[in-house]
Amino acid sequence: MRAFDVAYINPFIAAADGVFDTMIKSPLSLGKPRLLGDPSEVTRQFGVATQIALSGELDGVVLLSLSRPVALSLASGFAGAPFKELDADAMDALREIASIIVGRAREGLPKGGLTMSLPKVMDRSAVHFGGDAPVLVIPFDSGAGRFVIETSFRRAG
Amino acid sequence: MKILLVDDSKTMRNIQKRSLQTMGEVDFAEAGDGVEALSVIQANPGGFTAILVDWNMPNMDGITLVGRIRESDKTTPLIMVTTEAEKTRVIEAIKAGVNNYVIKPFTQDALVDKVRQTLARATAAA
Repeated sequence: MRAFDVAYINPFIAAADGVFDTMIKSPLSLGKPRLLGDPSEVTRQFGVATQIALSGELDGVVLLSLSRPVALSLASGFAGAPFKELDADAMDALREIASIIVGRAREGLPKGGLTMSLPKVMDRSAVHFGGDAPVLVIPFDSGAGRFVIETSFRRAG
Repeated sequence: MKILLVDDSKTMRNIQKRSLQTMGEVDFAEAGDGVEALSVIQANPGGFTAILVDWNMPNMDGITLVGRIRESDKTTPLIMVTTEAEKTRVIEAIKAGVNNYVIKPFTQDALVDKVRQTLARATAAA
């Protein structure tokens, strides 16, 4: 598996586009994907992460990482109700956004039939990818501000 | 019209409620997983006009729930609302007894159209 393979990038771009177009109704533009070097470059900017694990022929972790203001704005846009704080309802909206993006991206990945964990919202600084698989950072600019999808995959077994 | 919404996301249930309210007067019941849904169904002997079911949920997932409902109820329209878009999953759901399938993300109009279509088919078959 190559570290920087569009087959592991494009499905997430298409899935994020779909969610923003149909349910958040906010413009979305793609930044330049890159490999994650120092994790602090992400944790400094993005305090919140929604994490989903994928398993099957590939093992993977996918994060939707955002700043708190962007998290609140996207959660509000998706839910159709304004959130002032990252409470249980706002986190539920974030989990559902991440779940739809990862769920839809999954079908486009090179290995099909991957099982998806239930999403959880956590501090981005508490996330440790583990192992030596590279972490790919896919940045997006939305009407609410910048967020990133981070992915790390390795062959199972 | 009485519709049961089964999804572990309260946000998603609210989105579905807002969408389906455009169809007219609808009473909603809600459940956050398959186990809770079976309790709600048992507590409503009059039944539901339709049941919308998510696939990926804790405790009991949607496909198991559909199987459990169809053990005793062959007619209530069941609509799967899910990110599971692979053809094999759609076929699995239809074999389990789902009447229609909505893939997330969806627009309000798409959800309403699928529910209307499902109810019209159920009425024609009755």
